Amino acid sequence: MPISKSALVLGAVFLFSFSSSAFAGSRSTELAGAVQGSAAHLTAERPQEAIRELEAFADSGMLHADLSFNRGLAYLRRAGSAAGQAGDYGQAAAGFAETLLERPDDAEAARGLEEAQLAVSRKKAQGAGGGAAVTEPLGLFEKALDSVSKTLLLCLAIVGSLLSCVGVILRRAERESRRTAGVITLGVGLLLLIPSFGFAELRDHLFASAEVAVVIAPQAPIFDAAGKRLAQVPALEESTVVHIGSAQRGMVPLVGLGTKKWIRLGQLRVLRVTAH
Amino acid sequence: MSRLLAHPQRNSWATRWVHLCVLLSALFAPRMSQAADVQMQLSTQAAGVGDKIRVQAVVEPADGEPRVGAPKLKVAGGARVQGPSFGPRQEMRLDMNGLVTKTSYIATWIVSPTQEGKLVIGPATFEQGGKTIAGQTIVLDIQAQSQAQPQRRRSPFDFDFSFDTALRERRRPALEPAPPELRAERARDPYAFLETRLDAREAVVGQPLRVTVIAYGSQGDFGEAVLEDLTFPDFSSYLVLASSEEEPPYTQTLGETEYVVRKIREYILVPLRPGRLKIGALSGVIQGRRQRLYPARGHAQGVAVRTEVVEIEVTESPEASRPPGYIPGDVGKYQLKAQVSPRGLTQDEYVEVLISISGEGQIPSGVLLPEGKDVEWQPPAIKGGPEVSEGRLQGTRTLKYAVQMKRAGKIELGTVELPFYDHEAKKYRVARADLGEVTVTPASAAANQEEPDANPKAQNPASAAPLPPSLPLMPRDSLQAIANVRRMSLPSWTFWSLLFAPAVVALALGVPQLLRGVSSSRKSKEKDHSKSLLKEANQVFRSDWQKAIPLFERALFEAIYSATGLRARGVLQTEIGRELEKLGVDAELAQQAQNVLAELEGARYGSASSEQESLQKRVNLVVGQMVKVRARRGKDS
Repeated sequence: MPISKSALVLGAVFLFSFSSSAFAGSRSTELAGAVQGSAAHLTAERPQEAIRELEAFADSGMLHADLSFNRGLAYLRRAGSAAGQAGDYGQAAAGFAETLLERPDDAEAARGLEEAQLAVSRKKAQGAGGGAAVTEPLGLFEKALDSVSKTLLLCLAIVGSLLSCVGVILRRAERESRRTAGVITLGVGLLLLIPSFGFAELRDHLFASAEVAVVIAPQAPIFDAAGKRLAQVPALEESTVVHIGSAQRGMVPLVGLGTKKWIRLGQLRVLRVTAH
Repeated sequence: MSRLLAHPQRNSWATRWVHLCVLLSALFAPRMSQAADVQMQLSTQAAGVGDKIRVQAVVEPADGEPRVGAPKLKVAGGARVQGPSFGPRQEMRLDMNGLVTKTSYIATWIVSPTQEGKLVIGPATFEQGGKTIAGQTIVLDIQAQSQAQPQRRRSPFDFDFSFDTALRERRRPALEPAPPELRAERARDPYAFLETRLDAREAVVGQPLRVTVIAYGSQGDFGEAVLEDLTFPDFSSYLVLASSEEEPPYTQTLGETEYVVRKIREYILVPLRPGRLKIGALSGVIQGRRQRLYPARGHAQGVAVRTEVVEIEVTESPEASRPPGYIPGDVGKYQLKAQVSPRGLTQDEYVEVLISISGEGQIPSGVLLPEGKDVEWQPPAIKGGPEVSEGRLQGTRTLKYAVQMKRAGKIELGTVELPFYDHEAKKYRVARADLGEVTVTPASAAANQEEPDANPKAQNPASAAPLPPSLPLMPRDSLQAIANVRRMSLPSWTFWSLLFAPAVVALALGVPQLLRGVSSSRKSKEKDHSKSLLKEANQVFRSDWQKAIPLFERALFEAIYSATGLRARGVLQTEIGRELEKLGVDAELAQQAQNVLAELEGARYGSASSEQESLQKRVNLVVGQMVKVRARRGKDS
């Protein structure tokens, strides 16, 4: 009996969805196994093994906030032990920061990040260089842009636009009082609309396509676009969280207004999150 | 001699002697001429393959001697010879005899070696009065690489106007010979190279090591530009020397070349872990200090140089005879000092114990505290640390403890100890500081007596009891759900549309009004146009009927168009009435307009004057009616 085209299509769709769900199911089992295994290693004070496993999972694309947390914890514990290696605090900070990207309200991950950065500061303080600054080298304006929520800007823009439209309409009224009210409304509306539009566009320009990364080298010097080191700009310390642009010839630009500052890609760990 | 020649018979021996002298001088004269008359000069004594050596031969004939010509230069060895350029040069000198003019002849060749090895230049020969005179022979050792120095680019701030590099070099104060620790074993590059020195190739964790980068340059004093500094991922590092500006230059001869020697970097490193640790390479450029003495090799600004990666074997300090409480990494030479205040206090109050750890090394940040159940030690506040001083890593670290006295009476605080490993003596040592005793008054007795405090600060301990340590972070053994945070993702045109919305509204409101204004102004112009045409036609009618006919036609067409929008010129004459009726014009008026147009057409071919006047009146009537139709329609719209 000849099989109709529609039956074939239905069959293909069914097969695809079945295999997708089966794949998804197997993937979540793998993730659960990974997190349990790493927890067991950490409980048994085997941070090196935990790191090896978790890095392998990360390289294979298996990403999850809890895996990142365990990875950060493994590096933090190794850093504090005799087997600690250079860059461990940076890697620890990267793991916790990755967790926070997916779960911004994760208090433990926030504490872990703080501990890693504090450890770097303490280590630096014990040396000749004094304390270490592990904050992102953003200017005040850029920090303000990053902190303001897009929802707020949208609300302000909507209100501003509405008021401006009302103002435009009122300006065509016959009565003088209504025309005056229209001018005032239009002015207030534009005062709200133009800055919120400007901030939103600038914010998008700076951060929309930016990635988050963490410095994992003991120090990451800053360069200009020509590759010349900027001696007057202090190098970034290990565990500093930064926003970066697209890589070019092994260097990445730091997000910010003004003259672009560049940093070596090899000294960073770019954070990755599960695709939603 | 002339007298002897005049009387040869008088002395035959004298004659023979004279003949002999003449013969000898004839034999040796050319050679004597060679040595004395032809001066050879070379632009350089050091040359490589491809370099250009300027060879100059100068002949200064004596007065009365014939002119010099036909210069030739012999060159043995692989070389290309260009030239000669030859000509006389005259000099005027003032001497005892007055102003004297001396003529010399200069021949110049350019010799360019084509192969490494010995190159024999000369002799240069000239022909003078049928004789050949020659200069000396010069032998050069040609190197494989070019030895040419780049042309000096004069800086406007360079006040050394000497054009002679050798003279400039002679003017430079002589440099001290390099001390043994800066001397290189061999030259690794004819222009410039770097060497890294480590004061030990084996060390223990925590042992301070000195790493020095030394630069050698053969083209005079230099400065360096570091492109990539040393890296020490497995070390704590302390900078001792940041650039060669801070150190004097020295000199060392390697082979036949004199090198300027400068220390350009120095660090003290402390290894953080055992293993085979690496110190990354330093790369940079060696450049002349004020002039461009160093050629561009590997970099546009000078000679590119790079150190090698250095490895060092680091182990833990030996386990044998390791004192109890020793913390790996506490390596160096240390002394302890302690101060305790106050020495008298009340039970449960605190004393301040200040412990200073000083010495050479990374300065430990912890000591072994004496045990005792009568006292409770709080975690210390730590200040200070090591720094590079006089080229060594040394310093003082202060630990400030608050110690609570739990019982009354005389309490012996005990001895603070610091075990460390002296890497130079290769043995463990223990630094100690005795804390002495304190007298603690019972708490109840303190209410009745006032005991003067040696240190009022003891009433308020310098360091408050610390907060309990936060709970350690625990690993996660299960996956927790990730809330699908709805991130605000708006289309890119959202904000733009909000920005332009008021403008769109303004435009939307303004357009109809604008159109209305345009339409009314156009209509008022049309009205004026048909009327003015009629007026003109009536005026022309008085003098010339034939000329007036087309004007009447135009006026009527315009009036029809203004009233109805119909372009009557494009309509068949017999259909005009019907078309006008379709457009809502009164049937009678429509027919009248058609008839009038037909009569105007016929009038072109001649008509009686009475008919002309009648036609004129009817045209005026129809145009007037059309104007009224237009006005009516304008009001209605």
